[in-house]
Amino acid sequence: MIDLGFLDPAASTPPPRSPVGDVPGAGALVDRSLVVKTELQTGPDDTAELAAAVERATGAPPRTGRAIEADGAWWCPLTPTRVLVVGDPPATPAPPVSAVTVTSGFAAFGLSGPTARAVLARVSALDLRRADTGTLLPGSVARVPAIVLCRREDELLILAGSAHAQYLWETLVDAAEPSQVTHA
Amino acid sequence: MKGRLPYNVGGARIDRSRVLRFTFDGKVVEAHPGDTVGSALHAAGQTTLSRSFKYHRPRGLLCCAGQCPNCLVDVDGSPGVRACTEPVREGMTVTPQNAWPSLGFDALRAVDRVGGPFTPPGFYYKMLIRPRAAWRLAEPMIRRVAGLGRLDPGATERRWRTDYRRRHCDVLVVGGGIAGLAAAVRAAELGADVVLADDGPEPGGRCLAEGDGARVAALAERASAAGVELLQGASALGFFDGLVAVWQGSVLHQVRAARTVVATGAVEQPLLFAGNDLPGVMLSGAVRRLISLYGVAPGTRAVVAGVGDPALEAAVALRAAGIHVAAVADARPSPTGEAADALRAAGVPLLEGHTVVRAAGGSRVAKVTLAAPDGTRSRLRADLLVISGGMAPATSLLAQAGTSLEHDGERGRFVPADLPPGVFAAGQVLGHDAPAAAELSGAVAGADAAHELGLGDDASRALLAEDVSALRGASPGTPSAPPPAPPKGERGRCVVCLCEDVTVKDLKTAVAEGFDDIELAKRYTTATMGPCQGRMCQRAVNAVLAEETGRAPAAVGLTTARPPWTTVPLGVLAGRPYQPAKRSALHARHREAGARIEWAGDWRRAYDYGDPDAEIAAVHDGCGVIDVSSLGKLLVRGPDAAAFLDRVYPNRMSTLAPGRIRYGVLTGEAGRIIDDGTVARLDDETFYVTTTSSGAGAIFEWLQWWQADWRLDVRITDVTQSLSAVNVAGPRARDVLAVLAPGLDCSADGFGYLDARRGAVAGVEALALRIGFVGELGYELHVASAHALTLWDALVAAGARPFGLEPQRVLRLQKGHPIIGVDTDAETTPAMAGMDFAVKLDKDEPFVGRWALERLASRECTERLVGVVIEGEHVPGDGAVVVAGDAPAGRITSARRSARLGRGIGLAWVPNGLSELGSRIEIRDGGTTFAAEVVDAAFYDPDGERLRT
Repeated sequence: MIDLGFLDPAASTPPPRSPVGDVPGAGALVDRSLVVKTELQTGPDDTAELAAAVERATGAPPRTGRAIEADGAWWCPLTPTRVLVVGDPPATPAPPVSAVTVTSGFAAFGLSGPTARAVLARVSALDLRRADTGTLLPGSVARVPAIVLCRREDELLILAGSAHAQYLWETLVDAAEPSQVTHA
Repeated sequence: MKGRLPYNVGGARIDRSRVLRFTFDGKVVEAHPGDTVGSALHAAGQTTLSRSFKYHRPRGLLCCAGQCPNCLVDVDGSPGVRACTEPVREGMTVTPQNAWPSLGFDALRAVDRVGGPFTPPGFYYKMLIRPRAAWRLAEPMIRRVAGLGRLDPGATERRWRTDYRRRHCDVLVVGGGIAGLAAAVRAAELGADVVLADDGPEPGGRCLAEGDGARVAALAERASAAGVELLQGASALGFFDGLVAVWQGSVLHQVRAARTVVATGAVEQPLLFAGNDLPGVMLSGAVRRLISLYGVAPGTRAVVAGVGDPALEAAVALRAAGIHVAAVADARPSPTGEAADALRAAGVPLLEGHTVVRAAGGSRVAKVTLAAPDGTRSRLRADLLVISGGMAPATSLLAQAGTSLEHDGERGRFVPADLPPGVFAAGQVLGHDAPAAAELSGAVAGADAAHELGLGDDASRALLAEDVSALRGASPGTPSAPPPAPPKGERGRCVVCLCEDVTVKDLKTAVAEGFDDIELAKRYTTATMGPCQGRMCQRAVNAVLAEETGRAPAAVGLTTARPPWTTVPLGVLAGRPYQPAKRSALHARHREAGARIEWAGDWRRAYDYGDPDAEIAAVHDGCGVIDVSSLGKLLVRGPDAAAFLDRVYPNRMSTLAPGRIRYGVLTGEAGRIIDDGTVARLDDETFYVTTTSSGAGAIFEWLQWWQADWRLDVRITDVTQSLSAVNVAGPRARDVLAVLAPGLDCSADGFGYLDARRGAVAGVEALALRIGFVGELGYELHVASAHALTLWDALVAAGARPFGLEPQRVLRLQKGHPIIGVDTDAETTPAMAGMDFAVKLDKDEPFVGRWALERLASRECTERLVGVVIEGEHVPGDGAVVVAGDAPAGRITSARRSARLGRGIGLAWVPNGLSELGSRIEIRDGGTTFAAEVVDAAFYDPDGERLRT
């Protein structure tokens, strides 16, 4: 029997190498790729169990297009059978719900400040006009598949496949340039 | 600035207290802030601004509204800029284009003087056919003589930044005239999120120059107060299924609006007469803008000719500016109204039923010939001929949105007949010429749009009903006469399409030669295909074709409206040069190691590290390591995981023991290969599936698609980007791994071929798969991407030499391993590719493609993928043709020279008859012929001893 520990960066001895930090100032683009990400999944006939697991953890049932913040993590329903948890990992779920660490699978870039939405509009057609805290928008950012989570009114978290991380980072830095958003 | 009017006359947009300087054609020109390049040049006495596209005829200001091609200049190295709308800036360099040696004396004008008979429509189809070399000789000359501005072909860097901006809104209003402003105000005041795109520097449109400036200024203020986002200098380029592209400076706004109000107004049309393109011939709107906005005298002695009130109003404005009006020719038999009365009262000759038939002069109008209704000619001296051929609604955007147009015979123009859902129109584009009616129609459109979005209340609906009623009773505008037909027998070119120098005669020739449909005539003559996109000539082309063919204008119709509606720099359309690229977590290391990086599908991968032969040798003789992170990686988990995989693979996966690996080929329902890879069983309910790099995303979706139908108790997770993978290969691979993974039993017995193990390698938790695509002892290590660098560095430090994609391709070719999508195509079956070992038709369970594979099994393959040994020192390129009896019979999919084997080897598709071992085949690549022999594709270590050691 082979366990899935090889998927979890935290299971390895050396600390992972990736810049993570906060940048002070009104507008910032920050690499938050090492935030823990866990995918909860269930079979097509067990969606009620997944919804119940989300409700137990967050106090609210999952709703499409809405992420729920609870205990340092954002619970992001992607489909009725899949929920992405961004932040502190959830307790091991009971079957039929299962969990897989996908921390390394997603790059995560925080874009904050009053011009955050204007910066995103340079590279994405996602409609953020009515996006408030907790809005979750899957779509395309700079022509790559991405998920945008509105953590606060002026703070967006952009999740995309880690293979696109360098491209997306460079693209966001370029898009942020006219708005003088700092990055790190 | 000799052409400036006195301080108290016009000039609303300029600051006369300040002076700016720029150069035109090397000479310093003075201007005022607020001027356009065109207004400043005209004020400075420079009436010729450009040379025409084909005949190099002098051209000057015509529309002063950014509509026509007459004032295209090069500004600071950017060609094709319209001088009449380009604001002046201190120190700017303006250069004429398409003139040699100078704008004033253009030797290429000879084309106009003597070249006419030799350059009829389509002359290059007729005259440059024989000898064949004629076209090759003529083409560069034609390109040099005809053309607009020039780009610097050596430029490698963009000189200015371009950006896209995506904007969603409730209502987009296109056009900032009185109708557009009214629409925006009404929609915004009802609570809609409104964007207004206007191509002028300030909102107001024609009203700014025609006496309603205060009215539109008040509307603009209300719009701002209501939260309307006003985009000025912003031209709508096209309507793309609900997306409207709006160009503003270096930004391309992609506006997605729930509702769109088109208030694009109307375009004043020129008249058709001999010499109608001379500098000094101006549209009435241009004259009013020059006077009112820029304080520029368009001329000193004017003749005015038109078909409606705009011409008469321009004559009144000219007189008010102190410019002598010699005569006004009105095509109407008895014009009435305020302007007509004012002119008569002032004693200006108002010639009823008259029209202009000729303008003559050298570089500028000097004489004008008018024709009376009975044909009598009168000749007048003038340096300014003001014309107005009526208004053509600017329907292009509406037509792109799906609006059908109908011909209004009474007013001689095409108007919208019905509007598609979600699209509204207002103002002159709908035929509401009078400002009051245009404003009312805007308010109605804005209210309609907002109401459709669920905004507003009973009061707003009541107000809308009142407005609709008032609009029905509003004056449709002043009646105008249909534009007169082009005169017959007058000397001089009568230009229909100013952009492309297409004359009435050219169109008649096209019709006579059979190009009598407007779309055919367009393509044959290129009329309507220039920078104005038919603004100034669509109606004239329609009229000439109607007259020549005897059909009604409605039957002739207009050409298809296509974006862009406004000329736009290509750089703006391109936006920022973004090209999504996938890179592995090890990409930086490859670069540091001097790797040649190439595209491989949507990945950027290390092709080689400078010495592919040495990299191959390292794998054969020592230890190599390659980054294979791009492989697709899927977790398939759940009680039904084994059953699921048995259904998708032709191979049997349920019998795989935990810790073991099996090769699998995937076939579609037609039994054709779609992908391949390995399946490792991690425990009873967990499988780790790899796919090809290019198939990763598609196979994940494909599996989900089947699962959605089967609804088995399975979870499929794509971990392609979560995990990095490296392949450590070579006879020393075991030694390297043993050092770095002391907890892993790497012995041949403890970790055999096709075994899967978990363990820490260089402290990094890894899934190790013992497989060998490159034909040597090898381990594929899969680790969390965040640790890939640690692992890679440790492997290299332990003696593994990095090798790239190209060495890998040679190594796998030596083993005869095909690459799906390279050596196979959409028609390849497992049997054809020699992969039928991976198809288990004796399985009890149904699986995808079973039906087709069973039937294919009963048939002989018509062609097969075989190994070939190529004679000689060189090898053909991938894709070279296999010939049999001098006819194409197959192709080489991969061929390389193997240093280890000392010969050229390849994989080839050949007919079944040539697939027997020992068959001789002939390969042609370009002009080179290669002889080859069909052999067993496992060229190297055919028994796999090195692999299994």
